[in-house]
Amino acid sequence: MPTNFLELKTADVELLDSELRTLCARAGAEAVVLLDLSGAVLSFHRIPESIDVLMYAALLASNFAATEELSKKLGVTDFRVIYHEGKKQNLYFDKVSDETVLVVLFKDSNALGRVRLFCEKSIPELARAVEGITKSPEAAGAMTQGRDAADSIRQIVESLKTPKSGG
Amino acid sequence: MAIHNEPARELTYKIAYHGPGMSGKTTNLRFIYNTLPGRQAGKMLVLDTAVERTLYFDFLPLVFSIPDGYKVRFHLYTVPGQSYYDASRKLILRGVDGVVFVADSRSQRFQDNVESMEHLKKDLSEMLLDYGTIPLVMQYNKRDMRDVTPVAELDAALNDRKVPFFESVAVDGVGVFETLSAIADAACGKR
Amino acid sequence: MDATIDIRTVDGNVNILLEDAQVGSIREVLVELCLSTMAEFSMLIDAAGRVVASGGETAAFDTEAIAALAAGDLATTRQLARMLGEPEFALLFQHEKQKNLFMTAVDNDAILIVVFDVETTFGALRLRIRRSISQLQQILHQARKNTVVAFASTSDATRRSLEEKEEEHEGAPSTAAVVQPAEPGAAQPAATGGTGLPEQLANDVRKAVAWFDGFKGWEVMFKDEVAFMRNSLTRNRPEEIENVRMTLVRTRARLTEQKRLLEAKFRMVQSLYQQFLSVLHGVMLKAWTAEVVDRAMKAAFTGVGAEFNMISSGAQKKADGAWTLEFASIGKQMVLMCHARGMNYQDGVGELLRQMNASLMALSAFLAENARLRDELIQGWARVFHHYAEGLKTLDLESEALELFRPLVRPGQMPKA
Repeated sequence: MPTNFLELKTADVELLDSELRTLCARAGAEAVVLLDLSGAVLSFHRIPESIDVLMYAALLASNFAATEELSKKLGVTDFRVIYHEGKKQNLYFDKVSDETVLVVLFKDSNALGRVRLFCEKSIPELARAVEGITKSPEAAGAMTQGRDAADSIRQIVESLKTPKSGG
Repeated sequence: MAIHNEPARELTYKIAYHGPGMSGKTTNLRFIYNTLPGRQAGKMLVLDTAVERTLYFDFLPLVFSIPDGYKVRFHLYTVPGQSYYDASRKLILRGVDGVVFVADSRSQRFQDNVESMEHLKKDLSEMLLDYGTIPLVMQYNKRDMRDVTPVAELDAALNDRKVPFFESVAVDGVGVFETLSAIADAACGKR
Repeated sequence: MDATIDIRTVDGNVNILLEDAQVGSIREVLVELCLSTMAEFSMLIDAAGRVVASGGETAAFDTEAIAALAAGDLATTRQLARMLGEPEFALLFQHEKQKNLFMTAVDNDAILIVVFDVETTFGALRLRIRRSISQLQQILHQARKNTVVAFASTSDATRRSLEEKEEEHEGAPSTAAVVQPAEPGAAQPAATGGTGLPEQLANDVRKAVAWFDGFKGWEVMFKDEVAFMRNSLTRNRPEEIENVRMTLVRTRARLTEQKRLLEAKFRMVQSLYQQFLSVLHGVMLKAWTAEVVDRAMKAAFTGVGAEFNMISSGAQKKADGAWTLEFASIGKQMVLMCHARGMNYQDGVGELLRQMNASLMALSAFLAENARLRDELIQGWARVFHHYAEGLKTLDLESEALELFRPLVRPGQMPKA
C-alpha cells in the first residue's frame, strides 16, 4: 500500500531554511534543527561536522517523545519545552506543532532567556510554514525512485546467496 | 509519514521492527549494518540494557542512490519487546511507513508472539495508524532452534492479513535481506 | 530472610543487592525529600527502568510507565551528551502552569526522579536534591560493600577473559565490520602468490584465518567456513572470489552475533549465581559458625574435582570473611578449557553450569540435616530464579538453571518460573 508523503517543495525548504538561519543568528545559537517527531529532519542550520545528523535527529525526537509522554503520565496537558543544561553546551526544545519540534544548541547557559525569546518569535512563522507543507497519498513522480531502491535491496539478496549454503 | 524532499531529491521511509522480547529484531539490524558498506548503512545506534535487551530503540539509517540521482533512505528502528516497556514502545511507531513483525519461532514463546501482535495493533491505533493497511511483513525467526512451532501454525495464529512472510535465522543472516526487501517493496507502494 | 532487589546498570551488570532495610532507607530519603521541598513525589529507578523505591503521593500515577519512560529518556539524553562531548545532562523540564520534573543519574546505577508543582522555585530545590542524592549514594555505596559476592567489573572483565588474546592478534575481525564489496563490473586488482584472490581480499582472509587459529572455541563453530577460506588461499580459482568474499562477510557478521550471545549468556549465569550464592551464604551463616561455613564453601568449590575446575579458580575468601566468585578468573579458565578440549565457547558455558551443579551437590550435604534452613534456601533461590526467569528463558538457559537446583530439592518441590 502506498504510504502518505510529506512533500517538501523548494518553496517550503527555502522558507524553513531562512527562518532557521534568522533564528540561529538572532539567538546566537550554535545549531538549530527542525524535526518531525518520527525522527526525520525537515530543516537544519549549522550542525557541526562532527555530529551525525541522522543519529542526532533520531535521539532528539525520541528524547522529546519520551519526555512528552512522561509529562502526560504526570497529568501535564500543555507540554512544550525541554531544557538540557550541560557544562559547555545546552539544548533547548520547543514544540512547533503536534508533529514537529525545534531544537536549539547553544553555548552560554546565560543566553537561555534570549534563546527562549527568539524561539517564541520564530515558532509561529515555522508553524505556518509547516502547516503549509503538502501532504499527499503519493509522492509526485517519486514512486519509481522508491521501486528502484527496493530493487537495489533485492540485488543484495541475490548477491548474498552462495552456492554452498541456502542463502 | 514518508518524506519527499524535492529540491534535495530525497525520499525517506521509516520502518519499525516489532515483536516479543529477544525475538531477533536487533539482530536483524546488526546483520544489515555489518553487511552493507558504509555508503549504504550509516552508524547504528543501540540503546540497550542488561543482557542486551533493547531499552528504548535501535536505529539504523540506510541510503540507496538511484541512477537518476535520487537518494532513497530507509530509517530502520527496533522497539523494545518486553511488555514492561509498553509506554515507550509505541512512541517509536510514530510516523512509521512499514512494520516488520519478528516472531520467535520457539514453541515456548508462542503465546508471547500472539501477545506481541496484540500490542502492535494497539500501539498502531494509539499512534493514529491503521493496522489494516500499513505495509507489513512477517518474519518467523530462529528457525534453526530445536523446538519450534511449524511455520503454518505460526502463520495461522499471527498473520491475519496474510501478508508476505519469511523464515529466518537472523543470527546467521538467513532471511534478513529478503525481509528487508519485502518491506521496502511494500512501503514503496509495490504489492 | 531479607528480600533482595538488584540494580542493573545500562552497562549490563548487576552491581548491588539491596536488602529490605536498605530499600526502606532509600524510601525514607525520598519521603523526606518530598516533605521538605513540597515535591509531589519522587522515585529511585534503575537504569533499566524498574522502580526501586518511591516517596510521596504516587497513588494517582502509573509509576511503572513513568519509570520505563524515564529510563528511555535518560538513555537518549546520555547519548546526546556523549555526542556533544558533555559529561552528563541533568534533565529539567519546566512547565508554566502545571508540573515540573527533575531527573538525574545517581552514580551509574540509578536515576532519581522528582516531580514538583510550579509553586516551588527550582533554585531552592536544587540544593536540597543534591543533599538527597548524596544520601542515596551513601546507601548504594554501603550496599555495594555489603554484597557478599563480589562482581568482576562488568562486561569489561568478561570481554577481556573471553577475548584476551584478541589484542595479540592484529587484524582480528572487528565487531562493527563494515565491508566494502567490489563494485559490480569493477576491475579486480591483480592476484598474488598461489592464490586466485585479489591482494586485499587475500590479506583479509589470511588475517581472519589467523584469528581463528588463536580462538579454537570459535573455530569449532565455524569449521566449514574457516576451512573454505583457508583453502581459498592456496587454490587458484578466480571464479571463487565472490564466494570467498561473501563467506568472509557472513562469517564476520555471524561471529559478531555469536560473541554477543555468548557474552549475554555468560553475564546472565554470572548474575544468577552471584545472587544465589549470597542467599546461600546468608542461610548458612544463620546456622553455623564461620568456621563450618568456611569448610562447606571450600568443599563445594574444590569438590568439583574437574580437570579444569572453573569454580575453584574463581573462589576467594575476602578479609571480612565473605566468599566471592571472581568471574574474570572463571572466564579465563573457561577459555583455556575450551581450547584444550576443542569445545566451542557456548558449550563452555554449559560446562560451567555443570560444575556449578557439582558445587551445589557438595554444599547440599551440609544442609541435609536442617530442614528449615533447606526450605529457607529453596525459597530464597525461587525468588532469585523468578527474577531472572524471563532472561533465562530468552537465552535458552532456563532448563539448565532449573536442573542445577534439582539435587537440593525434594521431588515435586522445584521452584516455578
